Amino acid sequence: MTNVIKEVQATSNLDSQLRSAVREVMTAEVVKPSDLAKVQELLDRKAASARAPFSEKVRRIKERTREIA
Amino acid sequence: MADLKASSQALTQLLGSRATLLDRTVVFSKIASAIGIAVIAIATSANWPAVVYVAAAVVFVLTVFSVFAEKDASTTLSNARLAMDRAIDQQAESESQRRTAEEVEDAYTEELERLSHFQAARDLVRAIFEDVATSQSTLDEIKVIDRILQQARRSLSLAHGFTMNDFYTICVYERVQVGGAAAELECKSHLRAIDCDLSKARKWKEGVGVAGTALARNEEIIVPDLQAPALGSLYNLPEKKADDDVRYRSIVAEPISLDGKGQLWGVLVATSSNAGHFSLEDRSYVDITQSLAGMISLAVKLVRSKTAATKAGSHP
Repeated sequence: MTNVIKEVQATSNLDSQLRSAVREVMTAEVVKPSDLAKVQELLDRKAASARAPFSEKVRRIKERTREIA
Repeated sequence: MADLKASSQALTQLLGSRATLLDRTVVFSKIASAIGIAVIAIATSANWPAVVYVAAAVVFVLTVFSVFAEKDASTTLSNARLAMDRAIDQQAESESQRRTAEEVEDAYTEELERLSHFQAARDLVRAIFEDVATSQSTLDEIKVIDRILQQARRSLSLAHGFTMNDFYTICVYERVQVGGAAAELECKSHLRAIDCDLSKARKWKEGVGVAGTALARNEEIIVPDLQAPALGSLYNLPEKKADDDVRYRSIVAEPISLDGKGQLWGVLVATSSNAGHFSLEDRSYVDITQSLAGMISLAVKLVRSKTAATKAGSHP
């Protein structure tokens, strides 16, 4: 249960960080490369968290395939 | 696989040495039989019947033994060899199945990676929409679209399956009225593998090129390979640039509609230097472009409704 709560908090944190980073870019007259890099880093983390459960399943399937082989 | 081959060779050697042993035994039996026959001949001429009976019995037993021993050795060796060959074939088949399974796993992993980047891009667009909706200032619709593309640049290119070696473009064209009934598409925002000034981007007249055709027909157009002989001169450009044939091989144009009917707002065009990248059969990348066109449509509608609400609020 604690892990689930931590995971939800982490996702929520990531969302609020993304919103904050996006706000900076949207309000800027000239977008700085560092701001774009910050958003991209958050997007990468979002992507990693989105595929984490599936990656775990793929890893298990790979292990099973190796065992069979 | 290598172990199985080694086992096969070891078994063949073992059976071979056993066969040699049997062969020697058989040779001995034959020599003994020949001696026995000679003994029978001598005993017959000397009239020793007891010796003749014993020698005949020995010769008979040795002959039967040598016949069965020869047959047993060759059959055993042959069966063992066949069994090992079957095992090697089965091992090769199972190896091939394992490789196929690994390829499928890799394909799934790549797809997961690609779609997770697109999901991240959608999260970003949602954050932008929230920002636009709650913002006190009114934003220009093109600026919002441009910020979407700028911020999601890497995620969108990964989701579209573009790689470092590809020449690719993702361009947002807005329909603009030029004179009477003529309309053309002007590039308002873009992502390109090789950056170029927006003012240098080509304009497309309604009905001309892939983008112009999508605008005229209000339809998605997918051209897997612009150089396919079957296309003929359908999408030949009047003002072709030197690198066009290399840079633009596969293309998709998605209409951007604000109300699902009537005039289009514009067209979203994605191109790749890889022939077959956008395909009619496999819509993996086409679906990403289509979804992005939907997001752009939503962005325009959101900005327009926000602008209308702001105006209504300032002029009660």
